[in-house]
Amino acid sequence: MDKLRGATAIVGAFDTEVGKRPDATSTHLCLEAVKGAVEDAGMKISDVEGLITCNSQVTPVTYHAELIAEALGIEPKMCLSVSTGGGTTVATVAHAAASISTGMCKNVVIVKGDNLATGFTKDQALASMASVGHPQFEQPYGAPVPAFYALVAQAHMHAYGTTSEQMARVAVSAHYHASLHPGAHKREVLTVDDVLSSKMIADPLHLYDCSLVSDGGAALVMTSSDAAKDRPKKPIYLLGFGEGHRNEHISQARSFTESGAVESGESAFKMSKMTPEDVDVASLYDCFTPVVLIELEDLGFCPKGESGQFVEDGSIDLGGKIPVNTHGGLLSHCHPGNPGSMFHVTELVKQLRNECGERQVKDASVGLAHLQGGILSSHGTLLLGGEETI
Amino acid sequence: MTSLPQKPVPMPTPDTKEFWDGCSQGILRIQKCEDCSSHVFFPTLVCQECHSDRLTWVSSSGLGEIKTFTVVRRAVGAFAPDAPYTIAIVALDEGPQLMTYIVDHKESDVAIGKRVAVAFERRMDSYLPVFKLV
Repeated sequence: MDKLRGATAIVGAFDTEVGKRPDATSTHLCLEAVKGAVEDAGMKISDVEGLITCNSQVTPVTYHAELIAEALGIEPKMCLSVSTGGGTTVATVAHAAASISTGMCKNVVIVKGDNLATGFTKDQALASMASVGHPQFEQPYGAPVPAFYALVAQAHMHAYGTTSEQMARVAVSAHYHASLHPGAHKREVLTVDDVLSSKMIADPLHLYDCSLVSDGGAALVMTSSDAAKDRPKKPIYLLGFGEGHRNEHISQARSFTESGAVESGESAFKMSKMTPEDVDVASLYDCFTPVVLIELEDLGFCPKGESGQFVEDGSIDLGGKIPVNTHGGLLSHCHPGNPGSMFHVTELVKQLRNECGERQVKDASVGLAHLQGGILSSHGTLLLGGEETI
Repeated sequence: MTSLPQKPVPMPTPDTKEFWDGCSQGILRIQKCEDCSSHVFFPTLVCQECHSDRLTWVSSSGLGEIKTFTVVRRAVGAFAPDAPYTIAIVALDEGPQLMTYIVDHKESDVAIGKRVAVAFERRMDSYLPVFKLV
């Protein structure tokens, strides 16, 4: 793994317009994202050698990466479709780094896009929501997705005295950051009271503790560190990654207050030779507010059980100790399903390139993304940095 | 209003038939490892502790405690008219955990750590394990 530290870099990153995109299918969003990312990397679509995608939830197909390659009019050396929900983004970056370092391909484009907001019929949306959980041992109890995470929130409150106000503070921070992002799906600033007075979905989670449903896509272009130096934009190097997989189903979790982020974080920090104190800006998967709290603790940004106070003190806001989700995250920037976590990484790339304007973290040099899929199931952590970090 | 789809019922597989047959008879059956004596759920082929494949079906005490819970206020599809309802993760005294309903309770009485006992609730031709406070 040490061999991969600094061996590859992200040289292109692009977000499509997000929010409601009735003009675009999921394939269209993927193509738009690839085109943008390849241009950002100063390359041509015909240069792409490896293509990694994640299947669409709205229009799933058997050979997704191949479908996108065909639509782009390319014949890649490698096509791979990966599916670990939000964690897919970390898995794909790691696979891309390994593929490039072993010489399987010179470059890899990672793309994910979907149109959850406008592409689903009402019945499809219901069926999609009902398909979460074990078909025999969980689905018959009719837990809507927020209820799965409410189980986690309730356990954290019980164990550590975390409050609804503290969870709401995570949403407040995300919405504030999104208000500074011209492309965010929701740009209204919220207060803690706004969150607490929104309707209760599953105790203790209110509507604004839950993320959005959006359309959108994003893509990354990776290549070797040597080749990266010839690209027009500042290369952002992959310093480390790690995964953690404790359980698939929430009912089988050995802890409801600690997650596989512990293992994925440890691996990623070890490989990158970094510590939480070195991180200038973080993107933490935020499908529901309590997830951010658990990640802050499991990754070592604050001691176990103290994340509530940590966010209440403003630590995750721009200007705070560790600014989190400066784009607004899934809570306020956009959440098109599995592709949602791509924006956590494209935002880090923009932060480390100093391209974020009003929401720029000053002198950001090391970025961390922690992304997860399922119900706290598949965890992945990435550490990225500029040339000065390798 | 679109018509509500039906609530899902468990569709037993060869691996899980023993469990669901037990529920129909009012018995909560789980697997036990003959080598390390661990109890196992969901039904599987290997013990999750020692990875032996010598698993046998035994009756659970049906007793356990609430590990965590939530009250669903906004449900979707066929479950919408049932809200509010309480979903919990219960840890059986034998060790395994399962998702379930807490039934026949005052909302304010449900808490993490409370003791519960199994009961069975009919849905179509199936019986789902649910739990009551004891």
